[in-house]
Order: sequence, then structure tokens, then C-alpha cells
Amino acid sequence: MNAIRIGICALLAFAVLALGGVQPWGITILEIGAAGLFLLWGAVGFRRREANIRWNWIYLPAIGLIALGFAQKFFGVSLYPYASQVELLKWIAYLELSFLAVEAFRSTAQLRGLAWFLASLGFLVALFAIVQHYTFNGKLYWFIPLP
Amino acid sequence: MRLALSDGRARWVFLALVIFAAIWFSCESAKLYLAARWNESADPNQWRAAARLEPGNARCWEHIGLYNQWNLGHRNLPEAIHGLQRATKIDPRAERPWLELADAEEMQGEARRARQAYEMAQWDAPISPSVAWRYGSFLLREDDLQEGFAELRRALAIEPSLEASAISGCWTADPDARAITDQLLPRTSKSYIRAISDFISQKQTGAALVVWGRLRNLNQPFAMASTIELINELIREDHMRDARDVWKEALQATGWPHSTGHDASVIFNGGFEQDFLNGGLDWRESRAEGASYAFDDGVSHTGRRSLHVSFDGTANINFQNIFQYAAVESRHRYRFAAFFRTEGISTNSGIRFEIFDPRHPAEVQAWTPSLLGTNPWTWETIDVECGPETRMLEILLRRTPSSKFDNKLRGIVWVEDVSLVPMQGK
Repeated sequence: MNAIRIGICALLAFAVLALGGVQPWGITILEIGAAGLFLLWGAVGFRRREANIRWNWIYLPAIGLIALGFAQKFFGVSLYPYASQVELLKWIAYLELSFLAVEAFRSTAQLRGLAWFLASLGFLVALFAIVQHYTFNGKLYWFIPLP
Repeated sequence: MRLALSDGRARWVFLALVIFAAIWFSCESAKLYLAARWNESADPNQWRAAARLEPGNARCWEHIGLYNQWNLGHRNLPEAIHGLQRATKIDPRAERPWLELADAEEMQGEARRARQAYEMAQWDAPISPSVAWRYGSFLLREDDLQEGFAELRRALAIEPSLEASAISGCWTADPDARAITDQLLPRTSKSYIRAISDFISQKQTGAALVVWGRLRNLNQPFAMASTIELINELIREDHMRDARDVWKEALQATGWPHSTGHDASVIFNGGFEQDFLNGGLDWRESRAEGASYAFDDGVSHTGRRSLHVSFDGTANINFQNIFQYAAVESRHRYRFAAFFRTEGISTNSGIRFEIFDPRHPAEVQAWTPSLLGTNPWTWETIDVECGPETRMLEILLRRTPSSKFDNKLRGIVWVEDVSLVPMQGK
């Protein structure tokens, strides 16, 4: 599970640093990364001969939106099925990450570690934003041109 | 929930399901990425590959359609229409593919289908100025002027910066200023003032006058300064009667301070009681090296202030930087008068007024006496007789350069109560 915990933190950091994970390449890496971690979770369960799945209410909104997306796609009520599919994949990735986080961070120490990681990431991104603000040359990270 | 995977079969099924879900999900995500990446490339073959990979992505079909429509070397309108129709079928709520489809159908000579596509675009984006603009332009090309004007009017109501182009397009389709004003322009003073400016830039002063007439009847406030461009143009084109009429109407409509009837002088603001509008039939000024001017609240002959011109002694100045155009009647006599006060005006060439017809200088040219040294308020007057062609006089505060060795002008002059009054009888 350590690898999954590190993977979740790495993906979260990547999504923030990769321009908010809104470019097609950023979204794809996030989605495939989530699928890879899910595969790893499956392998751990396979090796341990058991999978202890816990329910968490945080799944509910993601499950609801995924259900809506599937309903739109398969009942033909989507105004633009392709856009529904794009959003559906995103929500599946978010649900995967939520599921993996609930499964991988169980003890108080692990949850405290996650909280520290998120707070540190937020702090560093804010610090970076201040540095970028005062040294801005018109490009993101000083080398990516703005559209 | 605890899933016991001790049973070998259940364990392998669990692993297979997880692997299948992860691979399916990764493949779907990778497909979307590849299609998006290929669609953003500059290679038409990759766009086609993107459309094959993700046939449900309307942007890919739109891209292919636009390529076939605008590839001037190998334009293929049927393919363009096919691509755009597919894009509109997949994503019917996006107005852009409908607009492009309408364009392609029009190029193909299918006006009826083009109109249907424009109507779909408008149904999708009823408040989009670009849709209304393109639909309106199409209708003008189809000679449906009334509908075309209505669409362009919708566009202008949202995006006023399109007004110049709209006027130009409508004028080409139907050079009728009344129709353009009544059917195209939003009924606001701002819009009418912009239209006047646009017509002037197109050298359509007659049309600008039509819009001016509508602006007056609109009963909406507007600034006196916004009328100056029209009056300047009328003066430039020697339509002095129109210039005078518009000037009077503008003074009335804007409430700009002016004398109301009992003053027969054709010079405006002769007492310098208001700041210069710097155009129209008011005084105009420009900077001059060696001279500066201002309104002097401390010195006046009548009223509350006078014009104060000061020469600093650094130049043998050819001063002709304050003047006014006055509308006059041909073959009429006028009496020009002005009050001067001077203080230490040096050299042998002082300050005075020159009155002349700038278009026919041979017909009228008169000078008041030149004042030198120090003088109290002095009334200078001269009679002017307009020639048969004279419709406008220029009233110019003037100092001609001195030919003497000590020629740099120093001193102060105050001017007030400048008037040009018609005399009885021609």
C-alpha cells in the first residue's frame, strides 16, 4: 500500500503542477495514473488473498455524476455524447482516486501524513505563485507561452 | 465489505476484472488524447485519423470541413459540407459549425440550405453578435435588406464596435441613409454620433446630415463636442449654410451656452466667456512657440473674463494660432469690431485681427490697425464687404513677423467683445 500512497500523492501534485490538469495530456496522465494505481491495488488484493473495501460517503457525488453520464450516454439523451464521455472518464478517475485514498490511508498516522502532504503542497504552490508573480516574464513557469 | 479471495477461482476473476477495468479505462483515455493531439496538428491526414479514431468528436469533423472549404488550392465543397454536416449532427448545439456550414452551402450556391443553417446557428446562440452579424451579412447578399438590417441591428445592439463595418456593408447594399438610420442603427445618441462619424469618414456628408436630423429628434442627451466633426466637415466642403444650421441646432440641443437672438453678431463666443470648442463655428487654437494664451478672469472689458495672449520675447513670431470661421451672406456688408488692451508690445509689428475669405482671398481681405506699446481698452473697428462668392470669413488674431533687427515680440495683449455684425442694406 505504500506504493499506492506515494502514487496518489504524486498524481495529486502532478495534477496541480501540470497547469491544473486541464490540458489533454494532463488529464490523460491523471486518468491513466489512476488506472495504474487501481491495478496496483488489485494486485495487492490478489497477493493478500483478500480485499477489504470500506464505504465512504465521499463516493456518493462521484457515483451520482458517473451514473448520470452513463445514463446520458446509453439512453441517448446527451446533447453531445462525446463531451459526456470525456466528462465521464474524468469522474471515473476522480472516483478511483477517492476509492484508493480511502483504502490506502487508513490509520490516523497515514491520514495525518496525507494532511501534511496536502498542506505542504498548497504552501509550496502558493510560494511558487508569489515568486512567479514577482519574476513573471509573460510565460507560465517562465517557459510555457500563454495562449 | 471484506472480499475473501482465498478461493483460487475468485482470486483470478478479481484480478481479471481489475486488469480489464484498468486497461479499458486507460485505452479510452489514451484514445481521447491521441484524437485531440492529432486534431491539433497541422497535418490534414492526422485530422482524418483523429476523426476515424474518435468519430463522435465534432471538432475533428469541423476541422476537416473547414480544411476542405478554405484550402484554396484544392477546395472541395462537397467534402467540406459533408464534414460540417457531420459536426452539426454530432453537436447540434454549437453555433460555429452551423455558421461554417451555412458559409459552405452559400459558396455551393445553396442559399436555402445556407439560410436554414444560419437559422439553426441563431437558435443555438440567439444573443451572439457574430451569428447575427454573419446571418445579416448573408441576408444583405441575398438582397433581403429588411431582414438583413434587422439582424445587423441585433448584432450592433450587443457589439457596438461593429457599427462602422455595418454601415459600410449596408451602404454598399442600399445607399439609403434613412433606411440605414431607421432600420439598422440602435436608437441611441451614442450610436447616431458614431454613425455620423462613420459617414464622414466615408465622405458621405449628406448621409451624415440625415443621421443628424434623426439625432435631434431622438431627444437624448449628447455632447456639443461630438457635433464638431460634422460641422468641420461641412465647413471643409464649403456647405456653410448647413454648417450654420447644424451649429445652431447643436447649441440648442446640447444646451451649450450661447447668446439667444438679441446679439446680431455672427461671431460665436466673442466675449471669450466659454472655453474654446476648438472647432465648428467657435474659436480654434493651436500652440505657438514664443506665445502663450489663457482666459484672464482678472481683466475684462465686459463680462467676466478676456482672452490673454502673452509673448515672451524669444521669437519673431508669425502668430496666426487663434481664429474662427464665421458664416456670412454674400454681397453683404459687415462691421467687425473688437476691444484690445496691450501692455509693452514691442517691435514695429503688433497684434491685430485679419478678416478674410479663406476660399476666395481676393474677395475679402481686411485688417484692423496694429497696436503697439501700452494701450488701455481700445475699440478697433473695420467694415467688410463680402464678394459674390463669399459665404465664410475667417477671423484671425494675427501678428506678422517684423523685418526689423530687434524683431522678437514681447508684451501682453487682452482681447474681448469681438463681433461681426451685418450692416443694413447690401
